[in-house]
Amino acid sequence: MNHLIYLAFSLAPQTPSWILWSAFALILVLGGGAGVLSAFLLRDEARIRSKRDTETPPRDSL
Amino acid sequence: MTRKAALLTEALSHLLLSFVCGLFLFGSFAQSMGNDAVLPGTGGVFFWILTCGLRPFFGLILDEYPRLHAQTAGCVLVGIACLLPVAWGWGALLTAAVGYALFLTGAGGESLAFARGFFSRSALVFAGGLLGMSIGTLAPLWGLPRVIPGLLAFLPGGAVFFFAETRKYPRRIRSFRHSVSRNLPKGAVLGLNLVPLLAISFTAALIVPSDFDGYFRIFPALFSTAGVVAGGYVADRFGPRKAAVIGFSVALPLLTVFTHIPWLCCLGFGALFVPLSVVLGTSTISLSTHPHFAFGLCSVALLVGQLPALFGLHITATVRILAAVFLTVALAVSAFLYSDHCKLFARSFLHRENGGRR
Repeated sequence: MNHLIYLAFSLAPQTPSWILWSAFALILVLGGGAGVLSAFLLRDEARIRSKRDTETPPRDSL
Repeated sequence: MTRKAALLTEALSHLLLSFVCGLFLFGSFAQSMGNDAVLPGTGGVFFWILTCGLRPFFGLILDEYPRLHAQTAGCVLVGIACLLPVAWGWGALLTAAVGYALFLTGAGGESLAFARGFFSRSALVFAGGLLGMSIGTLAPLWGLPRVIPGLLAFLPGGAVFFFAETRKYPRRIRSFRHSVSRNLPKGAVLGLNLVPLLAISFTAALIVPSDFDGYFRIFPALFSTAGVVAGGYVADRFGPRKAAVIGFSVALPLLTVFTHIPWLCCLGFGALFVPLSVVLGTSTISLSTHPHFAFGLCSVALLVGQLPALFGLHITATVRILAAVFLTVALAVSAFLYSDHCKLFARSFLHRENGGRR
């Protein structure tokens, strides 16, 4: 990981700004997509859990 | 083959494939860019962005279709990328990034799914990447022919195909559920758990040990790898909270005050990576049916933490203060979030599942 960052250190001052901005946009798109997906998955898990909780009868009733 | 041996195969395959990727980036890809000063670095950064950023999406696919041979396919793609003609530089880079992301998502998710409450098992799989990539970046010093990394990439592909990849996934990953001490909402656990990860990647990317050139460049990665492995065993033995708190407490002074002493800085890297296996294991609590996605999300958090370094923030007094603040916050979150009960749970789990054998 660090060696790629060393590369980036040498890269940043000379790189045209459009490359840096496109890299930033790519991170935003990928990171934002992952965030939205995780929100959906968390909601699904909560729904499954609440469904399971309501379907499982209390221990006393068995 | 037992799951433990399969995890070991995945760990060695991860080490070898990371080595091949380092060789490819600093060897054949850099050659294909000619004498340009900027393009090899740009390629390296885009490789890293793609390989981390694509993992959650691949993870979602693998969670839905666990029968896909993602790790083998990843190795084959990296091998093909290394064997492509020089003129295909950017195409080869894209192929290698997709292949490496596929392999890591498969290996990472699988190691979390089959860790059975032991942080050390998943830590073993994650640890190899840092060291492998670092050794691979020394490629220009060796002058290896282009065909060598290509052929080397197929070795881990064959190994994981025959010995590691599995088709029988547990429906829910519940083995790490006692690593959190509070009864918090799952979203809060997921969010808080990413704070230590952001602190680790922010600090690791910005703090660079001075005076380390040539083969000495391996040492930060060597210490980091040792830190990840040791962290797994410490978390199993003494509990995840102690592992994370000790790791951040040791890393805080070493990486903010003693950065001018390279060996102390390396020790700091080792301590910084101690909590990594705890964070990765805990991520499966909130996403218990999606271990591959959980691993991918952690990778994206690592990438986001590296953003300041990627965009040219250099180490200065202000950065040291920022790193100190970030590490202190991570220390507080770790003390708040993690528990020390995991060890007991892992033992009882093993006793039930494996007849008491580890």
